[in-house]
Amino acid sequence: MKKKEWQAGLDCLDTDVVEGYVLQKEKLEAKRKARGILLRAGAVAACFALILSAVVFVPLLQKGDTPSDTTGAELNGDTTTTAEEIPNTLPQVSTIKLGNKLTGKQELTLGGLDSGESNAEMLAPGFYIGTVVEATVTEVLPDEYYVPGQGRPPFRVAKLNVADEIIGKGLPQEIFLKFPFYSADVFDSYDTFIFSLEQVGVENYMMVNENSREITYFPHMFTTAVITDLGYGSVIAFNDGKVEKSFWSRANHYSFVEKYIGTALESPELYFYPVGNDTTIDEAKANILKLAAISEEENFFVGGYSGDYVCADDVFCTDEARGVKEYLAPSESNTFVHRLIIYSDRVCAVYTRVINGFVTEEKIAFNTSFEGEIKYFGSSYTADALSNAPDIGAVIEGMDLSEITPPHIEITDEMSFRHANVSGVYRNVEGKIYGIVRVMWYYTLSDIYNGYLRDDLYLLYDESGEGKTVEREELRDIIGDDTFIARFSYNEWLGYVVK
Amino acid sequence: MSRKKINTAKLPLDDGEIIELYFARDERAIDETDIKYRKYLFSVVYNVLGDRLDSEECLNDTYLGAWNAMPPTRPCVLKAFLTTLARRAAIKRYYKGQKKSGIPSEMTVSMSELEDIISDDGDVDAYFDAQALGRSISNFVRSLNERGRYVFMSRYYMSVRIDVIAAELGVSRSTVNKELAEIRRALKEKLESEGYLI
Repeated sequence: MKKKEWQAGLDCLDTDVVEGYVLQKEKLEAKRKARGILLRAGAVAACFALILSAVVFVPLLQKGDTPSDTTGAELNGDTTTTAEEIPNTLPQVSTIKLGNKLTGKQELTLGGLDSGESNAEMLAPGFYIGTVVEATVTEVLPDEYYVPGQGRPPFRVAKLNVADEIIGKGLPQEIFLKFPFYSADVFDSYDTFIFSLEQVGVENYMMVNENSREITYFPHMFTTAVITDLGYGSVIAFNDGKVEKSFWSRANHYSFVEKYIGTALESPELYFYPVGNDTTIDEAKANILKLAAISEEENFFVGGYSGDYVCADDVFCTDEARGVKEYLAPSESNTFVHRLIIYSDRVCAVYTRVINGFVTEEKIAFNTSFEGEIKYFGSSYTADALSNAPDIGAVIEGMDLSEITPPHIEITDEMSFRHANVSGVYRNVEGKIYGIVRVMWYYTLSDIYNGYLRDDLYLLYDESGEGKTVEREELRDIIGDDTFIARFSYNEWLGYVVK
Repeated sequence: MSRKKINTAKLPLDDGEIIELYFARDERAIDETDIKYRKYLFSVVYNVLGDRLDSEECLNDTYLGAWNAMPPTRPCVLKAFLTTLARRAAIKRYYKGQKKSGIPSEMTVSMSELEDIISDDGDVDAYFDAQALGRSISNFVRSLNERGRYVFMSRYYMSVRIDVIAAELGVSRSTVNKELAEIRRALKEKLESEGYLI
């Protein structure tokens, strides 16, 4: 590993690890300060005691009396209670089901003028060349949601009815769009939109905690984020069939965006922009297709950078790679999701197998810089094994988290439930496929601690579809020392005392 | 006649209030961040760069980064968020000015301890996935005990001097060195098992 790679890896540490360190550092500093204060206070107290003994105790002793005992503060008793005694703090989690699972059956196409046969027809970093749809908003869910541990702003969710797929195909009729909370008014004000989406239809479920509106995605869940490949107006809003507004979803400052878009709307031809003021929906669609054709022909990615444009031929550039492409083709309940790492002189495409919407350990990496070299990671899944994979999506869908209690930690009445989440993966051990579901609980003690306490539970499903609860060690014996198995210590607070 | 001394030092705002200033696009956000975290952030970047002037400039980059990131980002722990930004800015500057010869920074020294794991700087491998490595290192850090976590993060993430870590933990320098050696051994094993050191 190179130094730069090591540093880049450190730069991508999970937020909770850095937060844990900062909290630990503050805890140590607080301890040191307290020790310093104690030492100083001790010195003062010692001097005071000497003076006091000289003034009070010596005369008393001389009289032969001793001072009466004083009772010290009582020690706090054990205040722990069992989970059953405090039912109100238990998780109240509901599930919002979002759209369909990502499966091979959907034949989802990520973009491109020609609707391809697999997900791999046209690629771009982060799937920037996306599906473009005309859609109407049927409902904006009323609440704001957070993704715990990501430090991101709250978001809202809108349900959209797809009226037309302008680029791409295979979308469900109803899709769900996640957007920043500050864009909420956009979705109340216009009757029709044209969106360009990073990827759609691959989401599964959101677990929503009723107490704190926090959400955990399953690891495979891709957001239907709006992107910028329609020029600098990834959301074009129509009223009465004509363009009324255009929004740039990635902007932090709407004033800037509106100014920029204002210019683009007035002179669209200068900005490769598909719409101007009063463009109709049909004209907008035709212009989008024209711009996409230019991008196809000239290897030019409209609204982005030429280097961003990558097509399937760039990745599958050797006979061997083209052979593997067959292997990547979707099948029943199974597909590969992919992402690209773009360098100035090469592209690396990494494909990860997903079964029933849950990731596996199998990855295949294509590198265009070393004569199309291909690397394989993890175990490969045979067609037979795939057909026997247990459906952990159905397991999770049927779960009622409010009926499951954390098995390892003792819940005290000072603790408050923060959120719980469920995630799942598939693992292939010597040809046997296991589906593993993990439930994780987070508790806080916010008045006293800045931090949290966690617990976890694992459900293991084998090919027979039979499931059982397993402890970490047992799971390790079966699937090995897998990163999916959490490593935190039970009953250990990640945090520090602030009072 | 002696004048009564008045303490004019400003009390720092709460993190939540500072974040609100960022969200309100109020430039006092940067002043308040500077008041509260300058000393700490300076130490973060200085450990990486080992140069006072570079560190000052890097602090400005950090504040600008915070201004650009909030909104939309609303960090849970502001100090940790700023730490990440400061470190990122410092690493960028470190590699930019790497050809300058001079006294090696603490980060250069700490990286040299990892010579069994990391090699000289070359091009980043085409297959390299920083996020996957980040997850692996995160899992490794979580697997350590509380003190191990602190020692690892201090030395290899924050590039803190070994004697400073020892003083913070109230142990001897050799104790920290021994723990670091043990951590490096375990880290090497972990990274090897995941195919990073092939």
